[in-house]
Amino acid sequence: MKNITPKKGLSIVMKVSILAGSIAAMASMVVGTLIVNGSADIVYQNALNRLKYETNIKSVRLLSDIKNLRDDAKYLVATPPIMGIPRAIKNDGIDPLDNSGLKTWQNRLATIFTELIRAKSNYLQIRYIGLADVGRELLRVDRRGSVIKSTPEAELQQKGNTLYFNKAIKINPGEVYLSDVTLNREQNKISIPYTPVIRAATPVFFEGKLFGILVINMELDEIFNTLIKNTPRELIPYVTNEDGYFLAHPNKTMTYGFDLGHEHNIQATYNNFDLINNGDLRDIEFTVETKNNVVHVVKAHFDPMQDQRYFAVMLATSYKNLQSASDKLRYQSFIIMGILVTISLIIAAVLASRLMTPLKLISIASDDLANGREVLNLPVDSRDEIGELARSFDAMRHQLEEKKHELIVSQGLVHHSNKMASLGEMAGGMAHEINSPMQSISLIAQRVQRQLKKNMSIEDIDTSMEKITKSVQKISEIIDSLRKLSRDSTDDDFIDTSLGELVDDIVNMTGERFKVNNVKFHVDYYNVSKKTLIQCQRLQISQVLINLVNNSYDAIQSKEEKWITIDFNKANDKIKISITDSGEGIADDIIDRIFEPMFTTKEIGKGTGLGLSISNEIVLKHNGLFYVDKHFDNTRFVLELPITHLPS
Amino acid sequence: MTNLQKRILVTEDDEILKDMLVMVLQDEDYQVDAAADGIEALNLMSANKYDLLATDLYMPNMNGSELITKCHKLYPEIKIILFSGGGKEIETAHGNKTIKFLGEDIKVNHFLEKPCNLNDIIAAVENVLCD
Repeated sequence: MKNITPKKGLSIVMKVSILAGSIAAMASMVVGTLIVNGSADIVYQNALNRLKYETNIKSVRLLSDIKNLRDDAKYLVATPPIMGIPRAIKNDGIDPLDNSGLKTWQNRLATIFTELIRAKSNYLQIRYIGLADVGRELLRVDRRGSVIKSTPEAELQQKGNTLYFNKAIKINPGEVYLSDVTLNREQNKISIPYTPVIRAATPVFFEGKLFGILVINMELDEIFNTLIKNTPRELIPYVTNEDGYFLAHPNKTMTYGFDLGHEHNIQATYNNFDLINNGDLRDIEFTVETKNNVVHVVKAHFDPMQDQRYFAVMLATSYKNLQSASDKLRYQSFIIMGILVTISLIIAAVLASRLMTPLKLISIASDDLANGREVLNLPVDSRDEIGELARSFDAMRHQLEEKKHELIVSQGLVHHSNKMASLGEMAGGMAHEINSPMQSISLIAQRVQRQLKKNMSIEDIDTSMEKITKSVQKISEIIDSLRKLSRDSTDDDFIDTSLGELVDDIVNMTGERFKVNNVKFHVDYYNVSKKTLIQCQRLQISQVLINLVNNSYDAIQSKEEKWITIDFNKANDKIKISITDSGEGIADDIIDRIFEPMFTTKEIGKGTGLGLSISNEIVLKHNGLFYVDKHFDNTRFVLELPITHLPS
Repeated sequence: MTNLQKRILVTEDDEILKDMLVMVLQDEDYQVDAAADGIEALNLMSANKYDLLATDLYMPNMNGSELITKCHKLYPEIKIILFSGGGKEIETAHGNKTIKFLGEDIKVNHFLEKPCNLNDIIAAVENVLCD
């Protein structure tokens, strides 16, 4: 069998591993990427929402502080000394209601102011200012460092020209005017350290007429500091006024440009940042995206009387910061994905290998079977399809072995039965041939017995004994040739054999049959003699010749004329042996096939078809030629054998 | 008529057996000739007058069956004894008088199956010749 060796390629295990691994890897990458991108968007939105939320919280805190301020102003206006003082003034220093003097009411109010300032750490000053005398202060309590002190009467000032005074006297009772945030000033000079201040002023009416105002100064430094301090590091907090000037900024030198005469504002920090045009006035919050940053703005409308006024509370952060979480998520996700892909590749490889191992075993098994080795390790126990495959393979192998066995047995039987048939036929001939000498011996013995009684001569006895010896000799020869021809002579030595000996072998085995069936058998030695020697395996060549003569015998059975001739011719260093019979040659369509093994024209059971192909092998072993002479009218097979055997 | 007046032709290809048959019959005082095959036998029959042909069945050139057929035709008065080793080709019938050989009926006066006793041979020859 031809052994086809394909080019060495990747093993099926590798291919399946790579395929499964690639699919797993691609699937995890696609799904992973989708999930990661989705998650990253969510994380980004979360970060943005957190920015918005933080901004709102800061705005709410600031508004709450402002509201407290307004509420305190309303509360103070309602305290008894506020009315007690105008009553005492009107009644020449004595309050007619309870006879308290002006001084008493002033002291009482001073105590209230003092305690409130003490309670509210960011209140700097509370004043009661009268309308009379160009807005002269009636009572003033200040915080100076850690000391809270009421100002002596002589040092009280006229405030009738101040903005807050003029604003406050124009509003209705119960309303509170809130000033802009400015740096605190003493005697028209900005006091140092810079202290941002907001004033809440509310009018005081006595007997239906405006009497004066109440003013609370609240510093915002602490509030702004806290606002800035309580901001996460990645966020930058700002509070600006409506013009964009910083009220609160992580870098304090950037603040109060409007008071200190510099132009640091939100518009300068972020190019073309527009507080007003970003949406409607009523939109209290919006997000501004600049080149590298995102700024969320919440307008803290702190004045219910003038809802266009606001502080802009902002938190800014870079895109990088905003995306850092999602970037981190992406980075981590891709690392995890990488790990997962690696793991899936490994699992795929392991699974593929485990899956393929039985297939590989089957492949090895079929290879073993093909090369006639013993088949081991078939994975017949596997419960999956491969196990099934292995089991069918195993069944196939068993069937193959059974068939092989059957074939061997039946071939043997056919061969055997053929052998028996021809052996039987030959044995019949033999028996017949032996019969004559046996008959002779028997007759001689009986005759001698009979003649001895009649005075038999010595010569007669001698002749009789000689005949017995000859008969026994003849029988021995027949038995000898039978014994010779029945043994395996394949490996016999090449010995000098005379042509006559070959003919004797043929005649011993077939002569009687020819006689019985009236076949004329003739031998011609042309340019050679009976004694001419050739080197050959005598019995092998005899068998070839007997086989040919037997074929001829079978072929001419139905012929009117039955004859078989053997001719010997010498040409150069070869002996040409022609076996011719009275048949009319071999048909052209089968002449080329008759030397093929198993080719036969005989009916089933009569021939194995091995004869001519084996004969051909024997002749080739002798470096001879074996062919059919087509130029002859009758059937003629020719052997050309070298006289001297030269081992090849 | 004594045995000396009877002339017998023995036809047998086996030389020793032929010689023995001749000797055995001569011992009984018959006049005996011998041939190795059918052709030789026919030659002798044309030259001499025989009372009995004792022939083998299987012989080269012309076998016993052919010889007997020719003998019946040419010399119907000659009596015939056939010897044979038997075998599948031969069926005997009608008290050893008719032999079936290769599909043909051969009529003989006596059939002797080889191997046979000397006494049987002598008795058969005597019986056939006395008929």
